Amino acid sequence: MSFNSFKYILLFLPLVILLVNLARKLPLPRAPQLCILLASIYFYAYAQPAHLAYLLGSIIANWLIARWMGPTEEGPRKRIFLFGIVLNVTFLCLFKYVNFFFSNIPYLVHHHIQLPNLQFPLGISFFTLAQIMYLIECYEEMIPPSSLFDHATFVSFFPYVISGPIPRADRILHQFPALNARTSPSADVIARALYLFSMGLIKKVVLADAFSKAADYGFNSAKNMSAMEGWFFAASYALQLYFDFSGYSDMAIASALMLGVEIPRNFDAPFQSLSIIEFWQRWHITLSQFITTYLYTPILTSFKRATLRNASFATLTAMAIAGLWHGPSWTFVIFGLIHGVALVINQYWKKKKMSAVPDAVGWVLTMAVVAFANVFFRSPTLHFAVGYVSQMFNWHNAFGTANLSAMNGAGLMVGVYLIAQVVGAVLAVAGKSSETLARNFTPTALNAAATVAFTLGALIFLNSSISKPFVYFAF
Amino acid sequence: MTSRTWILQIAAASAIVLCLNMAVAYCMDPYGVMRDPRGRELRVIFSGRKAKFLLSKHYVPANYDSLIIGPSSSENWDLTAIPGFKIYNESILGANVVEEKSIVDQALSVGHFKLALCIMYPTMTSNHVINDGLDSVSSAEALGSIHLYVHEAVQVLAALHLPVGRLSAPDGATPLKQVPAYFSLVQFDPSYFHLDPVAVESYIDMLGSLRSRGARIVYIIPPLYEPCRALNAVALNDYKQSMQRILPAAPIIDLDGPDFANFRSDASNYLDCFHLTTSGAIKVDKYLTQQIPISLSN
Repeated sequence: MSFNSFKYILLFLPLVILLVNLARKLPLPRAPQLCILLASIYFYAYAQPAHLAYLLGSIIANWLIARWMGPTEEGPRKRIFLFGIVLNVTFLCLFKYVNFFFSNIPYLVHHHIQLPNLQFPLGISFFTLAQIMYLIECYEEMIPPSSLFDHATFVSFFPYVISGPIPRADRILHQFPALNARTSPSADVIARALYLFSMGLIKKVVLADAFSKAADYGFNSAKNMSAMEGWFFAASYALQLYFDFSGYSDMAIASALMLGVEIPRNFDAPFQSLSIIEFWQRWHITLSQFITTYLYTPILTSFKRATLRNASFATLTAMAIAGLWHGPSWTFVIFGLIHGVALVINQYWKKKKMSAVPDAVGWVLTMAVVAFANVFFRSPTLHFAVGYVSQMFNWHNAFGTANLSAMNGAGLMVGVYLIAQVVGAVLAVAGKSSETLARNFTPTALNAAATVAFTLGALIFLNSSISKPFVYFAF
Repeated sequence: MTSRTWILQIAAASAIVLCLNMAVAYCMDPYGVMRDPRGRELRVIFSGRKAKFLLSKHYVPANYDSLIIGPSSSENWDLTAIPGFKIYNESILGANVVEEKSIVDQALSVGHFKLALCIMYPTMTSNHVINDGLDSVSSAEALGSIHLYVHEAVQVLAALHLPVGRLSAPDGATPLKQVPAYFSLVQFDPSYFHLDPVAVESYIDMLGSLRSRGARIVYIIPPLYEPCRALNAVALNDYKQSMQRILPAAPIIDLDGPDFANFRSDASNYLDCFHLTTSGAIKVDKYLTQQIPISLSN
């Protein structure tokens, strides 16, 4: 069930909120949490009931490992912990990466050895990372091993189980007592959540889909476009990805808020970043934090000295893994490496205290790296990506605009898409992030009008059957 | 303002806007899905695919007893002059037969038909991709959607006697944009003549459904501009023969045959290799108006 569907917006979410609030009136001690757990299981099983077994299996396995790790001594404890990490990574690899690895080992390619292509369970990349973090937190004794009920509720919580934000157990588990309390979220919280949800919905349904129209056209016309168009369509895809994923995250955060749970923010106006380091502090924040804490730092600390060279190696390795996390393809690895190289240059520049780059130049360079890397992210194959990139530097046709004038199709929708694209670009580059707007929310008539307009406008787009699925559902 | 008042305000405002929307949709009802469509004259204004899909739910079966089923090359044909039949033109831009079937199925779910004029042309059966509005269209779009509002806005403009662009006739025939003719004289890619198994099966299913609802079938092979046709004559003939073998037997009016060669050689009848000018379409209309009763009487 997608957040941008009538079933979710008009039926599932209101019904869950109603049931959770009713459960709060019951004398049963943890009835609201039980409601949420059952709703989450239904939500997850809705698209592919067979995949529920994988989610539940992963939950039970990680819960058992955490319990097992709990009372033992340091030596066996560490072994159990490492076993848990290996188990999670194997689980992820089994579904996403085994055939990718096989296809890159010449001997195996020669002998055509392949496992059957398993359809990977929805959200596997997200809920596996969440559980790896859980095991680390348990191992480092930041949290005690939780009950199966708590652990299952934490991992399967429907607002984030499929596409994040990737939650940390300590931030979620401690909210369960309040969730089970008899008081429902205040009107202030509900109003803020409604405001945020409406912004997320319009970002996804109108803005992301408008940029998707341009990006799809561009990537389908890659052989015949000018250099300028190549950069334009790559930037369009970057904006599509931003509005798509940040819109999803806004709806996830808002849905959780309506139930009385705060989950971490995922975006903070990344297209206003003046450097690539800043970009990663603002883009997919929960993944960035995972990369920094659980990939970059352990790799760096494995060296005796934290030199610039070692830091560069750690950055490149961490970003290559982060790229691969998105999917079993070299295009994702290259995407990660491009960002890695840009981060290394940025780190070097800062460490060596080289002359400051003017803000405008820093912004242009950052956006150029983001757009360039996204060509690899969007391309179906490495060969396609290389072809696209060569068009981006095709000085024989630098400023052609034939594709730009055709990208939005024909008829009345051209104007609708164009307005959405212009508004989206301005908001991404100069507007406040929706999360910031929601945090500073005050109930005014203007906000009310905006919420009604965003929600109804988005519902009209949804009902016009032109909406597309979330990009990150594929990961 | 308190947050509670704010929430009540947005709930009330949303309810009011939705009620207004529903009231306008009911009163104007451009697709004939909310009120009795009998005797009304509803036109396709925007997004012909979705409009014809929605019009086919009630308006077409309530007011017409025969259908033209084809791609854009037959979109501007008007066969209302054929005596004894009330023909609605279900042709849509870029249609393949799977898309056409989804439209025709709407009409067949409630109506009976006397005659179905089915275009036999390679693009109808070369693929089965459903796109551009027909992939996920639903009746709910008649309650509130972008194309509904455009239809409503154009109805208002038309009522005010303001220019509104190209509208279809109530029988679905849609005038094509009269642009300077452009002929791309090339040999078509072999994929153009590919017989997609899914599309062919849909074609056969659609004909079966039409017949089970009382419709007699007449195939029409549309006229291709002669210089284009000459370049692709062999492949076209192969296609026609294959289709005649595969599809259930029924009368065929072959505008690709020798009787119609003079028409096909006259560039003034064409906008491009496939689409007819208004004057070309009128000539085809006249010819078919004579030929169809003859075909049916044989």
